[in-house]
Order: sequence, then C-alpha cells, then structure tokens
Amino acid sequence: MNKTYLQALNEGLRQLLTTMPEAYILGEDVGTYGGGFGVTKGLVADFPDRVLDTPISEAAITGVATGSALLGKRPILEIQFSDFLTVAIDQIVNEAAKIHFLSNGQQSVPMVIRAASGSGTGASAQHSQSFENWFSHVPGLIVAMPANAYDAKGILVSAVRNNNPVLIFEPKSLYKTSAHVPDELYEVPLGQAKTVVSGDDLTIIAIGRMVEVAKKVAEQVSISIEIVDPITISPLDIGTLVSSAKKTGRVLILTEATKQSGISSEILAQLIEAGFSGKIKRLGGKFMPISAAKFVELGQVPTEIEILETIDTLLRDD
Amino acid sequence: MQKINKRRALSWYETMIRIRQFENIIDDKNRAGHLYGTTHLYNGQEAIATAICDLLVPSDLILSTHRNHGHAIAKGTKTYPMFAEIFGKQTGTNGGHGGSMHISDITVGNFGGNGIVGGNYPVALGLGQALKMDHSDNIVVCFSGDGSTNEGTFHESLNLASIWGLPIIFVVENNQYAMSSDASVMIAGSISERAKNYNMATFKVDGQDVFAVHETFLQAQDAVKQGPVLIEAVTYRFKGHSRSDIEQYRTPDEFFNWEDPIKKLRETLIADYDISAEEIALIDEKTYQKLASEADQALSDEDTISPVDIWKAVYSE
Repeated sequence: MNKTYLQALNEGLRQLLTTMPEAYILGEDVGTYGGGFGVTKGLVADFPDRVLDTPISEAAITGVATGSALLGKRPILEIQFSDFLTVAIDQIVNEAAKIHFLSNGQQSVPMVIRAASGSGTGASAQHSQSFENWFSHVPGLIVAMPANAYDAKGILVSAVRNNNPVLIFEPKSLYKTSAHVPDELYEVPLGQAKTVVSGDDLTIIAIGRMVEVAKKVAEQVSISIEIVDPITISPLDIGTLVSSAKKTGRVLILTEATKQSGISSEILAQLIEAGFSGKIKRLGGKFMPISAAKFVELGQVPTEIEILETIDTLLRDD
Repeated sequence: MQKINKRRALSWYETMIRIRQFENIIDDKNRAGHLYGTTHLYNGQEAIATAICDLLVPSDLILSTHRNHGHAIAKGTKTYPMFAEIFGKQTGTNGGHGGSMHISDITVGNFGGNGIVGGNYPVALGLGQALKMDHSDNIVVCFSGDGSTNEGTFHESLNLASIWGLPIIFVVENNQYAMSSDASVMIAGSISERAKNYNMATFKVDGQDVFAVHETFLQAQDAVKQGPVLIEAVTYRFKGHSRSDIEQYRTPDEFFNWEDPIKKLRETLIADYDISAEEIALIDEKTYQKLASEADQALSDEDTISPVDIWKAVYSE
C-alpha cells in the first residue's frame, strides 16, 4: 500500500512503541501537536507515558536520550529542524558518540535522533540547512538519510534496533511523497547502499531528496543511467559505489549539502583511492546560507537543468 | 556526643586518606615523568565525595567531571585499575583509552568523569529518566564544579529535572576556581540561589566538614523523593587546576584561609573518638604502602595499543 514518508514514519514509530517496551519518543511538541511536521501525530493518545513533550532545550533533551539509553532504554528523539542540532552538538559529538569507545566497550548508547532537514520550504537560513556533511565526520555516530517512504520506515526500525547513536536526516521536502510501504515492521539495513535504477553509461550517486531529482533526469536522457543511493552516509558503503562507478566509467555525485568539505568530496576521494579512473563531477548546494526568496532558494540546490548540463559534459569530453 | 559512630567516622577517614594519597602518588609519578596526559587533582575536596558516596548503594548512579578521582574511589572503583588507566595501560578501568578525565566503572554505578564542563548534566537527566520509567528507588548524583553553573546545560538541566521530577541530586562543588577564574567574579548571584528559582530543594554546606556533608546529604536524600535537589558544597582546591597550572592567579598564602578536610577529621577522631595519633599514622602508612605498590605494578603493565578492530572499539555490535 502506498503511504507518504510521514505516514510511513508514523506507522513505524507506532509499531516500535507497541513491540519494544523500552522504546519511547521525546522531543519538542511531539505530543498533542504531533511533532514539527506531524510525524508523531496521534501517538501520545495511545502511549501517554512514552511520548514526552520536552522544553526547548536541545542539549538537555539529547542528554535525556543518551543517559536513558545507557540504562537500556531505546529513546527516539525528534530535533524539530536539523538546524537545531547545533545547539545539541556537544551532547551528540562529545557524549553520545564517544561513550562506547571511552568506556572500552562497557557502555553503549542505543539512541535515535530524527531531524527534519534541508531546503525547499521557504523557511530561510536557520530552518533549511543540510548538516549531514558535519555529522558524517563523527566517529561513533551512524548517519543516515532515507530518500523515500519505504526507506524511511525501514531505516527507522534498523536504527531503533541498533546499539549505537543513529542520526537520521529526513528531507522535509519528501514528507508528502509516497511509495509502497509494507504494513508490517521491516528493516532497511544501515551501512548498505541501494541501486535505485540500473544502467550502463553513467552512475549518479545521489543522497536524500537528490535521488528523486536524479530519477526525473534519468527519464529525460537517451543514455542508460544507474542511480545509487548510499542511504547511510556514515559508515559509507563505498564498495557498492565503486562497483557501479567502475561499471559505467562516469560518475556524477549529487547532494543537497554543500560541495565544500562534504560527503561528495569524501565519496570522490574514496572512489579514486579505490582505483576508479573514470570521470567524476559533483553538484551540491551552493556555498551560501539558504535564502528566504523562493527563486533564490530553488536555485541553491542542484537543478534538473544543471544536472543535464553536467551529464552532457561528462559524455562530451570522451 | 558522637552522632556518628566510630566505625563510620573511621571509614570516612580511610576513604579520604586513600583519595589524598592516591592523588599524591599520581602527582609524584607525574613529576617523575610517568604521566603522558594531564590530571586534575581533588586535593582539599575529599570530604564531599566521601560523605556522599558513603550514603549511596552500588545501584545508585554517579556522574563526575574532569576532576573525578575522588568520586570514583568513594563510589567503589578499584584503585589499581585507576592507576593503570591514568598510566595508559590495557588493565585500566577504560582499557587506557579514557585517561584521568574519563574513569568509569558501571559495576559500582560510576558512569564516569567528563572532559566537557557541564557535559554531564544532560546525561544525568537521562539516567534519572530511565530510573523513573523503571519505578526504581535508586537516585543519580551528578557531581559538578562551580564553573559548570555558567554553562547553558546547567540551566537547561535544572529546569527539565524540576518539571519532570527526576531523582537527581546535583552536587556542585564550589572550589572557588574555574581553572584560573575566581568564582566570586564569574558567577552572578549564588549557585544555590540559582537552583531555588528552578523550584528545587537546595542546600549549601561546608564541604571541608565531612560530618556536615553527611548531615546535608541525608536531608537531600529525603528531599529527592519529591524531585531533584541541588547541594552547593563550599570547598577549596589546594592544588592547581591541572598539572600544567603554575597558579599565578592566587597568592601562595590563600590556602591558609581554608581548612584541610582530612586534618580536620583527624583532629576530631583524636578529640572525640578516642583514637590515637599512632593509630591514624598506621592507617596512613598502610594505605600508602598498598597504593604505592599498586601504582608500581600498574606502571609495569602492558601499554594500551590501538585496537586491532577499530570499528568494534568505536561502535557497539
């Protein structure tokens, strides 16, 4: 049955609360309000003690998740906009992600942070950022960015069952998009890339909302494009990306996050280190704060026209 | 009249002198060049950890700071693996990866030190929340310093602990200095007054007096049944902030204004508990001999090396 990204997450959360007594949800406005975007709508009515509205205290509530995970709970924390992760960054980077190593493996932190991410809603510079680049830099943290409703539910389930802190970026421009989503609980494995479309002439490695853009572009060209979605940004399944790159000989990496010092630079570097000698181009978010103005904002992430032009360049220089 | 029985008073002395001598040995080994990393000594503050942890059971939980040796020892963490940890040995409490600032031992409820000032407050909330969800009678004691009360996490955490009624006793050890910064010019108002505004039971106690800390903590344990509590323990750090501190921010005679909690207890034991100076000297000597031999043994242990499988060291399975 087709469900939206929002419905898939909501269903997944409900089923996790039902089947895992140690799981609970916390975050700003996750109760009656239903979370910033409606992901937790209706859950508090059925789980009044396990859906907790918190004060606007991102550091404190991240610590609530961390500390309770240390004692065996499975907290699922909503950070309303991924931009607000900066307020909690010490708790994520210095506490949650390091505890397993610092305790020599005696302690683990099975927590999940969900955060609405990215631009495309006119919310301007502090409510539209793509911070996946930043957090893929943190050892001890798993970072994922599901690109459709099916993966959103499956990654959520895998994340809650995982024994490490997992940060899930949910591209908010995808919340209303639909896909086939099974009714039952299922996992989409963390750390495993997915070949979304098979092809022979060129590989597009796309992350988050760029996957849908890549699919639209692939339908408009005469060549055979392969689209690979890493889904998990850290740890990166570089093996799958290398295989596809070597098969097609041409790679375009698409991210909503900025190119500079980012995941696309990392993928490019790792492809080359793995022996890929074909052509590579990258397109990413422009290196500027997100504008509130619609026509500026829409041009700050790779557009279909730019992608088509870049594909032409990759083909032309043969 | 003795309100505290002799056995208990003596056990406090044994814990306090163990902490003091443990750190004196660390200081000696540092001067002798055996320490790779830094260390922050608890010298002067021993009465606080001792009296408080004496009133806890192993399943009560503590969190500490960069200055965590005293809390760890008082909570029951073994001194031999603590030495090994500080010396960077495989036999350390944390396999040598944590070092002086991160000693933890969950088998005795010690969730460890923390290198981030104020970083432990939010984690304490989570421990408290889990205990609350499990309807546990256990509590969390979150040890912090005066400097941490100017961090945002202090305010966020006191607020959240209060509105959720979490079973946490926040113990702020005001040792007068945040590194080189004098608390009297860095903190607006007072620490304990700040907590009152979060609608919490608050106490202020002389941290150099182990009997006073004991009495206050008993009251705090009663009060925490209604919600979180904050204790400001007024104390003094006799040593510098860390091993690299040359202490130009205070005068050499300043410490004469402060009582040494161990000397104070020693005098009380002799005056009120019919214990001789010789008996105390014997405790001091036996404690020192045991610790010194542990330290030497720990020094000869295998150095910690990089994990063979880094993935498994960094991520849980």
